[in-house]
Amino acid sequence: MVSKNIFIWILLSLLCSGARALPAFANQTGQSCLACHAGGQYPELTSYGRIFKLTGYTIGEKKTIPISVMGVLGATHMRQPNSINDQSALNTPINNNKPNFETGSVFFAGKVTDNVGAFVQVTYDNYAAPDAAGNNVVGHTAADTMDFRWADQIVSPTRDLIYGFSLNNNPSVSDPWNTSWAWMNYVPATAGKGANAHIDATTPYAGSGLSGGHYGGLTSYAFLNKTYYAEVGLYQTAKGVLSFMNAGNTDPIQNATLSSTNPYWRVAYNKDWNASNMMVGLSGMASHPYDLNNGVSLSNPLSYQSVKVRGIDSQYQYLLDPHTITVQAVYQNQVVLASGMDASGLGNSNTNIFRGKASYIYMAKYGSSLAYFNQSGDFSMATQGNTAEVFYMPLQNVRVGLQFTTFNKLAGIVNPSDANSVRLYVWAAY
Amino acid sequence: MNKFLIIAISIAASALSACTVADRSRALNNPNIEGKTIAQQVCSSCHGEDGNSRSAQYPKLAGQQTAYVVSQLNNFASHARTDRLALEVMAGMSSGLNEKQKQEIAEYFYQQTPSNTSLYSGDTSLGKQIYNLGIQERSVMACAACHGELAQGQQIFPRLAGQHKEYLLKQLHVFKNTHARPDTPMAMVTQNLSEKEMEQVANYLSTMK
Repeated sequence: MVSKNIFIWILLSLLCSGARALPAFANQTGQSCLACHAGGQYPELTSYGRIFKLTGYTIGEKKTIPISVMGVLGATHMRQPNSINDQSALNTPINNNKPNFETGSVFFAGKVTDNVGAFVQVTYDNYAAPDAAGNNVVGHTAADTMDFRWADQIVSPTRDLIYGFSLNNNPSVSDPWNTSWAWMNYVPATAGKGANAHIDATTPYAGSGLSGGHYGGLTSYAFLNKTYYAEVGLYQTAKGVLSFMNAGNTDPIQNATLSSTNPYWRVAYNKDWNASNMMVGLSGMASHPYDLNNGVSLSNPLSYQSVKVRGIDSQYQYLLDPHTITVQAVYQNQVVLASGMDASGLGNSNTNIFRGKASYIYMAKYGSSLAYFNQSGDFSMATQGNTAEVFYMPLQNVRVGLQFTTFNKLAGIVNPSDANSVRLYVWAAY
Repeated sequence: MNKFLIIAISIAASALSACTVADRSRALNNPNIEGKTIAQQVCSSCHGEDGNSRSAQYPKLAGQQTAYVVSQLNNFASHARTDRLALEVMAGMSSGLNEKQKQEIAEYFYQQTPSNTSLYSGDTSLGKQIYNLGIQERSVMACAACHGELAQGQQIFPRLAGQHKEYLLKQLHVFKNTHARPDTPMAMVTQNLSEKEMEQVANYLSTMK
């Protein structure tokens, strides 16, 4: 609780300081958020934002203390929290209709040398752990996104090659497009607990197929003529010298344990014309996470599942001030093979996830979006619905948003519309 | 120690020990970096490695008049231009550059070959007429008087030939509807141009070689 109050105090102090309210990258380049973020809608990147990321966050002036902070205040109204709680035991009545400080992050982000840069996020989750009564109301701080890069760019009037390496802790977090697994779900939230159990952040998104903690991964990538992108990498348990990349998340350690090294790959075709940009890409990963339900020990090879994901994603952007339009679509197949310790085979699954989203922003101030999600499966898995959102950015680093999430199907819930939720949030960064 | 860690540590060590390669730097406040390097490593992110930007959000700079580019970099840095992207994107990019770097950046882009990427295939006769002759009854000056018959520009008057139509139209709106670019006579020139006429001029210019 003390750390929570300190974080809020720091955040409010900074926001009220009257100084130019710019996060670390903006201070480094002297640019506003909208240079890198489409219509100022962080974290969705513009073409320039993608180049800034791929060149290792090294454009601009190195800052002595490249620190930013971010916080989210939110309030959620779930339509029938008691009904949902009876079916899912997610303690959904708690915090319903109440404003909460949900999550806050500290970033160490920016240029280190002309070739080296970093994006390091440590996050405080105000509802991370259960109290004695089983309600998730105990705050906790842990490693979040970490991306250390070395990058170079070879340019001539006829060729442009960006290449580099990323040491990161989350498959696809190194990707520059926001249809990637780590970035399409973009509004930070304390998810899956209390009244937030069925907000947009908890609805089906394409992912690595892994859950729990963060991992240690090294990827290499190349972007040729701003057209062809390829990335390959290997991930393993963040242990030894890489254990800081999962600090605070190892409770229990099995949550973040993978067997051996696990490959990740990504290819994309990118094209700009007039005021438009389009990308079509493929991605996939094969991994072996610990079977949390049936595993017997970390050293037993039969205690690990096999997870294979592969998908196609596409993004269209129209950027011409004052208009910003984005259309995104992702389709992914996830196949899980049960571990050798899962005699029942209940761990086997084959799931398809589709998500589409369209957004429009005017003058980098007024925005709206509409999303559709669909996860295949039997009654216990199938989830389908929509999220509509309107938001307003009074300052470039403050967003006030209202999300409406409705369900036609919701994994194992008899009356899915009881989980329909309205969420008001204030998201600020400095 | 397994192979994965060895590879990771080797790369990290190589990266941290890497010397700054002056012709690959993306620094914007280092007077030792050549303007050509800044043009290739930073400006090219939006304006294209050969000055032919792919996105109409950003102007093509290939073949652009050197004096014009330098004057605009000065206007960005001094906040004399206050249209949104000038103030929120370009001001930060240009404020750390010295005069030599600005001149070198401008010369790099002037030396590049302009390419025409216009997809417009409609009638350009009205736009051509306004560009070359103006509209006398409404005191609209001929654009060619300053920008040249071939729209190649001269000195501080920019090259317009082959520029993105969307970019041209956006700037015409800035001239006509705002006070964000007070350093040009374009506010007066555009005052009596209709929306359709501005679009026709932009169409014509975008198709010029």
